[in-house]
Amino acid sequence: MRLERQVQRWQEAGIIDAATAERILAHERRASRPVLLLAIGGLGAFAIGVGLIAVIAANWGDIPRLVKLLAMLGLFGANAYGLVWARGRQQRWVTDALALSYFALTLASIALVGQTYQLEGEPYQALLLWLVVGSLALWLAEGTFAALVFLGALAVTGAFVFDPLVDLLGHDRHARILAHASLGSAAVCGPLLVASLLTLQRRRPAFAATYERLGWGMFVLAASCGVHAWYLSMNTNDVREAWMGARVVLVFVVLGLWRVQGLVFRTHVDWLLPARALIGLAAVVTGLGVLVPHAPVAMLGALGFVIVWALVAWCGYRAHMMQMVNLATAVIAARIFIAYIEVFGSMLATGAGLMVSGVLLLALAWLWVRKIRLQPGGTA
Amino acid sequence: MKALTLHLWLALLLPVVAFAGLVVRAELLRASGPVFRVAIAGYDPRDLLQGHYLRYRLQWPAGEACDGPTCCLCLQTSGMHTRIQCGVADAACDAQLSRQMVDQAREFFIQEGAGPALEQAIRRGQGAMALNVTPNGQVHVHELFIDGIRYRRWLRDNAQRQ
Repeated sequence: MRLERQVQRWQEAGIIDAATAERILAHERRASRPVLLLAIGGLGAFAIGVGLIAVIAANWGDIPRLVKLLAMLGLFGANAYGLVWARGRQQRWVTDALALSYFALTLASIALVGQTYQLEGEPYQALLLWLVVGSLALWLAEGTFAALVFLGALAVTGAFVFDPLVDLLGHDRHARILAHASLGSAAVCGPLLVASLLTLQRRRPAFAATYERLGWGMFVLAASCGVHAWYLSMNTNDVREAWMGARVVLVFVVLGLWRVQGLVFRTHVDWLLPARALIGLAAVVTGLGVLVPHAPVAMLGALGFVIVWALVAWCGYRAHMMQMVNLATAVIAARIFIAYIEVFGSMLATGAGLMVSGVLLLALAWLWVRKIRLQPGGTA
Repeated sequence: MKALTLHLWLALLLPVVAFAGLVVRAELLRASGPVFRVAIAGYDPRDLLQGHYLRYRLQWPAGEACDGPTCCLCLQTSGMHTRIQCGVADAACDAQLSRQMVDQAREFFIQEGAGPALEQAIRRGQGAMALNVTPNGQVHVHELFIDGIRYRRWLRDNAQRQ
């Protein structure tokens, strides 16, 4: 209905003629999918599946071990046959769904052995084994969802492995800090570094694109939080501990600065400089905030935040991604508004703060309207 | 059918091989020594059940032979388990369990709805676990027994009596 109204409006405005309007509507009707039918059908299939699982679970204890194990082998066989059958066919989603199912089945098989033999291992051992033997099946998929599932599995396994890993390091404080810094840096920079791999971009473009989006999101989020270290006071003990982990973080930052070129496609080399500036400046502002003893300097934290988002806007502007520019502008405006509240104090300080912030907001609005929104070719 | 690539083969076979390996390993551990029945007690008397898992601990037999961290559990196929000093060779012992192994909190998967009856039975001291000791001193659990019979059969008999 919405499309029909739109097409009618275009026709009334003289943008398209009646024949074109007919062709657009006919095309969209052909392309549209029976969403309600698919939803009801999917719900029915889901209910049957859950019902079957519940019936089996209710009699689980009475099913002989050999039957359970053979049933699992049967499920593996059926799923594997499906994957071989779906290979090379047009519908990629079938392969993706089967690959995801094989990945899930791998975890289920490990859990089944643990449960039927009453094994008493640690969950992280099962999860590690799952990742090692199941990841190749996930690599058969090509879609975004599979990329996210893999990352989720990695994150869950990482969370379970962390404590045993630290225990293995012998409860040494230095080792614990290094482990924290490594895991944190890998979470922030890992997706971007992986996305910059040429092999991934060539063989699994959807994986690379997903990890790149997620990686930038993680980095900007971490940088936005990290610069607020200036709101805290850092004494010499805090700084000493921060220096222990700094080496690891530095390695990841340098890797990020180097590998960011792998994310820049030949047609969009313009945003390499702002991307490097974003990584470098965010690392410097955050690094100084935790590596140098200082009293709380809220102004630097707020300024660091604005710098991070200004660089995000610059990246978006150079990459012709106007939505990113708009988002960054809105975030900076919101941050300046928060600064109003932060400077509330005496009448004089509040008045001065409001005026400065107001001028900044007006300048931002002017910059956005005159320099960005009205750029030829801009889609804002 | 097109020739299968190495990647596809590995992706399909690796999980199956790992599954088979886990089953074989579990079977070998299960068959790695004589089976003993050891009395059990609830690990947390307030809450023996956590989800579908019964939480329990192996029970020390009564005796004054030893106490403390150097005390081990001497398991005998006859069921007459005793306490002995760890490291002391005793021909009567078919296997030994360290104090850490005996005192460790354990979980046993049980059938849905079986919790309350089993919980009461274990509180009354009717529970025993069939297990064997692996060559590296670990416990490999086989089955839960209540009043000397497998717990599933005991549950069925119990339900019929009621």
